[in-house]
Amino acid sequence: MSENVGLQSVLAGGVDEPASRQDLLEALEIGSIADRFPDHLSGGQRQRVAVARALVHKPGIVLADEPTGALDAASSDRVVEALFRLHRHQGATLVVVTHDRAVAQRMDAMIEMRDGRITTSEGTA
Amino acid sequence: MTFSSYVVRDLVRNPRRTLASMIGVIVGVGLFSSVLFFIDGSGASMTARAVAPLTVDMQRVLTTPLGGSLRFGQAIADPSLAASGRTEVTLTVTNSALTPSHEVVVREKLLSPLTYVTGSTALDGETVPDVGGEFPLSQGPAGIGLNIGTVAVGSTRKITFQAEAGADIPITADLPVGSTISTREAPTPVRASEPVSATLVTLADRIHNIPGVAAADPLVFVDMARGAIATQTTRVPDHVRLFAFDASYQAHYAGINVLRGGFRPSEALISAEMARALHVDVGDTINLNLPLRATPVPVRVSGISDLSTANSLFESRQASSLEHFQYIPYSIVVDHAFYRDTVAPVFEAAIAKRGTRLVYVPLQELDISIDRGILNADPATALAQTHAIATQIEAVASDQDYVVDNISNALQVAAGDAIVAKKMFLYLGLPGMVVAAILTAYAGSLLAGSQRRENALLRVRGADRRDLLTLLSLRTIALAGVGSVIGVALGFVVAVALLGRAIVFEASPGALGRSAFIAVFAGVLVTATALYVPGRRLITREIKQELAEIEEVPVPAWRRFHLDVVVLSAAVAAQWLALRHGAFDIPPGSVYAGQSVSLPLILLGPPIVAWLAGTVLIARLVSAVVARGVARRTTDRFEHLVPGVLWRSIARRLRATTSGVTTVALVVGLGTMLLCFSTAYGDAKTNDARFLVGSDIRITPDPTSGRSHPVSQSSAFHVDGITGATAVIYSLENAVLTSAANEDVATLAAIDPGVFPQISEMQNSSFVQGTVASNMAALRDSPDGILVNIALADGLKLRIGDPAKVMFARGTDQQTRATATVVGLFQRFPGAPTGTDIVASIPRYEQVSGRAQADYYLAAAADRTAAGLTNIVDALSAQKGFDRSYVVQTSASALDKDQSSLTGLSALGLLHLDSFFTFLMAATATGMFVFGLLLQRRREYVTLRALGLRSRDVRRLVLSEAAIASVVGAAIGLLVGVAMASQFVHVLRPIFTLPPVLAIPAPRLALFLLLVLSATVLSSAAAAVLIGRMRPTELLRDE
Repeated sequence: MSENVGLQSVLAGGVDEPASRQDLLEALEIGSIADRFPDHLSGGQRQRVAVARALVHKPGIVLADEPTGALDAASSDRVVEALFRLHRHQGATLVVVTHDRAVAQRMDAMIEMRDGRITTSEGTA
Repeated sequence: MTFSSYVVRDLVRNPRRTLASMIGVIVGVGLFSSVLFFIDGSGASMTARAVAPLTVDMQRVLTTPLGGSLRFGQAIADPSLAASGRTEVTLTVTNSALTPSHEVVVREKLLSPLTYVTGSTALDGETVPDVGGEFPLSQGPAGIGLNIGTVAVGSTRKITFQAEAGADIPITADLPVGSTISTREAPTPVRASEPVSATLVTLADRIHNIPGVAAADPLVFVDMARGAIATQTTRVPDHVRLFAFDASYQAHYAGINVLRGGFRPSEALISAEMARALHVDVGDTINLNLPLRATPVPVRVSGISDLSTANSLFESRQASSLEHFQYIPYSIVVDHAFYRDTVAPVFEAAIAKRGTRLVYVPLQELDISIDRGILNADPATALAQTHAIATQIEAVASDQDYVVDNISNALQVAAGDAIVAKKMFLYLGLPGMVVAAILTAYAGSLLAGSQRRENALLRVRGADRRDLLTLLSLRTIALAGVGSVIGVALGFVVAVALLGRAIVFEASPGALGRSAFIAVFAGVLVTATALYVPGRRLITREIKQELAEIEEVPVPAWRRFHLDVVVLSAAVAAQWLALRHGAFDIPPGSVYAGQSVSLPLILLGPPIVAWLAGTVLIARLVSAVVARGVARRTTDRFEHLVPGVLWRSIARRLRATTSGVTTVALVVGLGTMLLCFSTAYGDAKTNDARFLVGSDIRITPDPTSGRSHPVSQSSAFHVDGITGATAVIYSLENAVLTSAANEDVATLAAIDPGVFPQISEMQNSSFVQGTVASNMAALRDSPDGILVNIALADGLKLRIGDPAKVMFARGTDQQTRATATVVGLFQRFPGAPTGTDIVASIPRYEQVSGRAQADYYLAAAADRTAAGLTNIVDALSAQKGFDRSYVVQTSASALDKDQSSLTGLSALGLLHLDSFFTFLMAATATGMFVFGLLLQRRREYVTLRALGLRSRDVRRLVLSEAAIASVVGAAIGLLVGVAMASQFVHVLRPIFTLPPVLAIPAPRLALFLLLVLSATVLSSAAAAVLIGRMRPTELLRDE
């Protein structure tokens, strides 16, 4: 699984750094299962691996579609924390689509949609 | 809908999957069937090969005097007899020949119910007393007869005796004849009342009318003493052979070439050597000094002939040297009428004269030619035909002589050889069938995965395990059946295309049909099993996994028990034991002995087993090394994209990669083995031909030429294309070798030891000790050194270093005895099909005998192909007077009469077939591997694409993985194939004179491997195109 994340660094044209990769996995609390194969991961663990793959090459903008959809509350917090850490340290822009209001409220700006229409817009310029 | 219609629709609606499943079956069965068709065609041509070297198809050798010198009759006075009745039996002996018969013995073995009446025997009316109370015509336990002495010309002797009947005899004429007669001149007993013996001419006429007999020609020949032919002033210096035959004989048998004049009745055709010795020409008169005849018989010379290539006249009739060409330079030919009227009576009189003992007696025979056009191409069928003809020939005047059936003997050997050939090539085709099974099983295992979803759907709809297995069985039979039929058709088309219609259609339609049936049957059996087993395993495993809810990939039993190691060890041990105990060193076949070659084909089993087990083991070891490398890896850093993914892909799917590598290795191993084997076979054939001739070209002075042929003349043959030439002094029984223990007549060859090894076909294995170089050096450096055949050395108790004495130039005016030292022992020496006993150096021969005339010259060619040798022969013939002075034989035209007809098989044809099919199989194997990758990893590839991997990188991944599997597989296959071929060539030992050696045809192997790798690239390119067409979103949704 760890190598799966490392592959993304190379695919994105960067350099694979096993140490920083491991730090990211630890941050998402999946560092202890780094040697497992994808088929041996639970749905939540796979979700976190996908997030790790999205973040490992330190992108400038992250488009996240329901990043916490299959996660319990604690795991959800860790994923969101990882996204915010990227935002804080790298200045990456986060664009998150979520049904979880708690996650949405942690964002700088929030646009709410209902039945395909924008109903509220908070913190937008 | 029935299960069968479901299967048919399933196969038709998935053409690519169906074709992929069948391709292994088609190619494998194609190879197997084409080899069978090759065997049929080649086996059928063995008749022509077997009878080609025969000089005389059949011979009737006469054992009773011509025309029957005595008439012997038996008569019983009463036509019928009652029990206890008596009758008189009369035996008459009449001499109607030109000479008296001596020591005439009459025997009578009275057969039940007749018994002899004591004291009733009379000879010419005078009573003959009983001997010890016994019948005078059957005395003692041995039944010794009555010697009535000499029966003069034109006289009749009569013996009578009384016999009593022990029971009623309705017709006395029906009683079996028990009386026989023999004479000093004709010691073989002849029964009474036999029909008059046929003459040679009568026999010839009657036999010629038998269907299948092309010609029946009488031949009489007799050797006569030195000087038997002379003029007023000169005598022939050596013994003479007189032949009697007619012009038809000359027309039917090759080699009787009239140089000047002609062959005319009552005149003589003499050999050129005799004409030269007597200084006579056409029109002159010569004298025949016949045995016991005071005055010579004058004969006019009607022609001068070259008989030096007349095999039918000079091939030995003696059992110990049957068919060896033993030329007698001083020969004379007369017609039958002259022989009958002038020569035969003299010999008959000489034989009849009391107290004389002739050294030579005339040998009379009928030489019979069979119409070879009617002979079936298959040796076994042709044998039945010639047997039937021989039986009819024997029925004509039976008991008078015996038939020597050379053609049936040769065909019997060829029929045996044909069976051996079939077995040998079947063994060679067997790995093809194994590969077909492996390819099919490989395809089956790859495609079984794709059946998984379909099986799951069927099970949801209510199908149970039995239903799934029934569907699998039907699908398997359909694929194997249709694939096998297409494979046989492909095999036939390829055999015709590569070998030519002439070879394949040489076989009968029945034989071809049988082969097609065998190929389809074996193909269905083997490939259906190979398809069924992985499919069944998958169904069983899925159900078990479902029940256990645990996925596990079981390790196959053969790996758990290391069966590859066990089987390979057993095969190696069996082969080692076979080699160590000389299992391959069986006696070669012999046409003379009527002995077919007996190849130890069962010994081909261990190399085939070793090929399978060895390939699997090596592939597994490579896989283990890779796995160990993965385990030792200290970093999991992704350095480069494609190599990083490739390495991880291979390492994590080692079993799948190993299967691909093993399959490619097996195919390449088979191809390598067949290429090496065919090359070794062809090389052995060429080497044998060179050994028979002595080198590429043998130039023999024409015996009719008056030129001298000094050994130094070899330099005159250096035309374009000849790399060297050397002279050889050689003739049959031209020496006597004397040791401290014994003495024997021997055949000596004198050579130039400095040049001979470069010109001739010599192998180290021909010598008991040392190498070619060391033995030749010893011969050159020792002033009186000789090399001796090991068989003769054993007989004379000679060892290396022993002193001996050699009589050089035996039978000539220069014959001289000289000391010699044995400097080497050999088993066989090139250039002398009738065998060489002693080899000496030409300088030594010249020094001792003062004779330096070459008997033939050997020349080595730069280009040893048939075309190259023809060019050289043409260049030699262009030299002034060459054709009149020399006869040229090349290794391309050499044909050993005693050699197995297996050597006549076209190894090149087999080579073409094998190369084609092994390439197809290799291409199929690599294609399967590549498309197997594609099938199994579609999801992986599209995921990688979705993650950002470019199509180009996916193509590189596929190509690299396929290339690695092909290269590693090819390397393993090359290694195993060469090892397998090195063991396979042992089985050819009995066929050839020189032991065949392993040959590695590097250019052909390189081309083969290049084709295999090209197939990999092509299939990878095709796979890349398919990958490019994939739509990731649809594929991921499907998955």
